[in-house]
Amino acid sequence: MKIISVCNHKGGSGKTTCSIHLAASLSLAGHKTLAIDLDPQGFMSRMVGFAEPNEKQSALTLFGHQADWETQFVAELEEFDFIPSSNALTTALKKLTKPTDVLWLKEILTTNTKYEYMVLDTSSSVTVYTLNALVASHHVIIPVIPEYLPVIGSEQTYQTCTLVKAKLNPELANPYFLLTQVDGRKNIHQRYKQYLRDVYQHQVLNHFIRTNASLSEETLKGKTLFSTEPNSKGAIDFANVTDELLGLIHAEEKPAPIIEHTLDGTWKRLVEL
Amino acid sequence: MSNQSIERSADTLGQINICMPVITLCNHKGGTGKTTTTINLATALGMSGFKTLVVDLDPQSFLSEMLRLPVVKEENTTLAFFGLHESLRDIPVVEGHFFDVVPSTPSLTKLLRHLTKPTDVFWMKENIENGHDYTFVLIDTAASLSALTFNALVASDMVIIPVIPEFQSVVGAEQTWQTCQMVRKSLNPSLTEPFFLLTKVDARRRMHLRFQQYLRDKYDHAVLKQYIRTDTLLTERGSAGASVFEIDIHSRGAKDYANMAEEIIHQFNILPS
Repeated sequence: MKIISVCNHKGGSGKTTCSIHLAASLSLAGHKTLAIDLDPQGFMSRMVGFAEPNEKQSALTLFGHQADWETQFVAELEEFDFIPSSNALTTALKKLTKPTDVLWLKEILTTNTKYEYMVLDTSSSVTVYTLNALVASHHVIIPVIPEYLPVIGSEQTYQTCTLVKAKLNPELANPYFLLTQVDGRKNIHQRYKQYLRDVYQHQVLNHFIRTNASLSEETLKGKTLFSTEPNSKGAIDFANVTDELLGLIHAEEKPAPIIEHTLDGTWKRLVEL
Repeated sequence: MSNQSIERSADTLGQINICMPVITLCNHKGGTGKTTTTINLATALGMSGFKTLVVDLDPQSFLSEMLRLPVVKEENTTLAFFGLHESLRDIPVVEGHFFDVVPSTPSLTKLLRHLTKPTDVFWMKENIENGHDYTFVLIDTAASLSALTFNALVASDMVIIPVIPEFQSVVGAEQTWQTCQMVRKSLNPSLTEPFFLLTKVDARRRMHLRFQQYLRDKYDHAVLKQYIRTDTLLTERGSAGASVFEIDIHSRGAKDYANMAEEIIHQFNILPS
């Protein structure tokens, strides 16, 4: 079983869209997949059709001694299984303050025997839920729009992952950057794409998500592009990304060397751009 | 809702009588242009001769990074609002060309853990009310709904909700609207009804027209007439400065933000000093 977190400290970079389509395409590739919404604001839950999820039927029950697959609510969607988020996650933040509170998710998720892949959607703020997700994960995907602020945010996220890997979760692989909302008409996109590739090399996925109106639209119906517009740019891009990712996850190669760099250094490069 | 908005329009067509307005930029959804709007609105206000202060309340400090502020001591950051000083006048600021800034620090996240008492939402209000020399104070918030965001809303006279006319962003904006109503009702009666500012509007996208129409139908005068068109310069960080005015004063972005600032100034009965 592999757990994949989708994470970026900058909002609006396509985390939720990426989580939904990654889960759907993993599922379509024949793997039993579970997606968990860990964003207290519940954008993913809303998009797949859970507007006001009940607290007892939400991801909140994964945090604590009561967590148990027997009693855990799991919704069976058309394409993948899903545990929604709830507003109650915000209130519960106050109670999750002990240093060991970052381990809850790992504890329960590793006892699962049913799923081959789990996709965790996180919120853009760095909360105990995001840390729980990173601690429980094998892989992290950082969706990033090739523009100034999103790139800064994604580099912060990369740092956070390195920190988590060093201190809390040695099993965490180096994060992958996934370029999203890429617009071939924009020079700036080419430039920041090149910048990321230069600095992070093979940690930037070769396939990327092109800008696609149906990606911000189709979700109105609570479905994924794979069922509504299987021939759209969005569906094709996500299918390719998933294939690439599966290849990387299963490649039996030596782990890639960690790319050493400091934020100071990259900012200098960003200034030059 | 429609009755409310009609009442409100009569109310705001006459100007709001506040001499030193505090404006918060807020949307629970990330990536909608909060930071970009803060910087460009502040620059436009500064260029029009208003003494303007920007407070960065986002622990991830995107605004401070965008402006490339020098690193300051922690007690000189936004943290100073929470217990170290009694009045905004005592808080040191970083002076800029067109506006001054109180930068942010990642330690704000740690501070959040201590802001648990119900009275902890009044820190910023007290500091600001105890005196300052600015005509406009702009507060940039994080995308999450935290005690910090509440502090900003409680201290404010006006809220601007930047919103991309797309599904998720509109949902986030409507949640933010609800939050503002709650704050108006129970914590800060002097807050006027929030304004929506449409950002990243792309006339080539039918969806944008649809959601724009939806917001205007539902919220009427609460949607600012001037909207911000999509402009790659707005996603850039120029070598001369962070605002679009410093990159290219004749650009679409500069025109849109100048008009939008004009519309905001018009809401208040004040003249440049």
